Amino acid sequence: MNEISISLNGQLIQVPVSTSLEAMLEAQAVALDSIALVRGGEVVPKSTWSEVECQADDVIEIFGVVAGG
Amino acid sequence: MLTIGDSQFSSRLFTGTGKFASADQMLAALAASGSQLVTLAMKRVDLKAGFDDILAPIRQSGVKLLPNTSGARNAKEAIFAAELAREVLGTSWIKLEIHPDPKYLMPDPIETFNAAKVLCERGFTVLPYVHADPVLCRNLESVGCAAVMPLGSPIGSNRGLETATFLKIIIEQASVPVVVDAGIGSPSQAMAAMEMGASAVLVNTAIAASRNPVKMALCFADAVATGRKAYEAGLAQVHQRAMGTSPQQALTGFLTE
Repeated sequence: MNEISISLNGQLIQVPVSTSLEAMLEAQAVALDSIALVRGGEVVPKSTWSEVECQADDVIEIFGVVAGG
Repeated sequence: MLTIGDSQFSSRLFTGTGKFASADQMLAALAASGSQLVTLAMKRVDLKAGFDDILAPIRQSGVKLLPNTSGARNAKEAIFAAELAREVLGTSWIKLEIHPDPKYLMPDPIETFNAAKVLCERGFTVLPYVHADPVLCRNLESVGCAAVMPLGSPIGSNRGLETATFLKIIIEQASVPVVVDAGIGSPSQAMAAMEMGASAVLVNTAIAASRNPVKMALCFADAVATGRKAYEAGLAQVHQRAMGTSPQQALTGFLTE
């Protein structure tokens, strides 16, 4: 299967071509309803994660919530 | 009841979630505080460290969430953090804080004002953390902030209401709620802020870093409720000289009349 390389929170990972953002996230140990995803500096709305596919050399960052005052 | 934006609060004690020894302790203290508005921060997930989902149990507790923009060094980063928070939490409420100086964490008034303007235009309910600056607070109100959150003293310092003179002016002039945020170190200081007429206080370190956070949360809840009641009852006037509480005639005069 053809794979592409993307950067996820600073780490390079390989995913099969045509992998949706949602499928890519499901392979990570994160709770999908507790995170936001940023691709190329832009927030990607959660409602589109199942349709939008990872592209080669994407720079993706995921953000979550932590304790704070 | 306190109204901020479209929400009402029966508790005037807002709480932060930082610095607790454990998630369980934090949840127990939040419950004890009776707080209905709880702050959180945003952070890039560390995938190597594993995902610690503190959000799920806080969501379950039913409190309203107030994400902050802590870590933002300018308006652009704060706006980005607010957009992230809206995406993660589904809330347009944001505690706007921009404090690039790591030693004193003083809020940057210019960047905060610029970010507040943009966020209000984008439909956020903005609660800006600011120095106790009455002019700035009025300007923030004029661009649509739902409340203002002036500091009592530096974040986490537990020094209390060192800005009291200016907090009083802000409270006098504001037509949006004034939430005294940062620096409140003891229940008596929280009570003093409420007696002064603050709409609410936000407390984190004083509860989280105490020896018994659950017990301390209860103390703060009592102090805030009592301070509010005292404000509503109307404090008696302060005088330089004595004002007698008993009849003032000389005792001998009283006896011979």
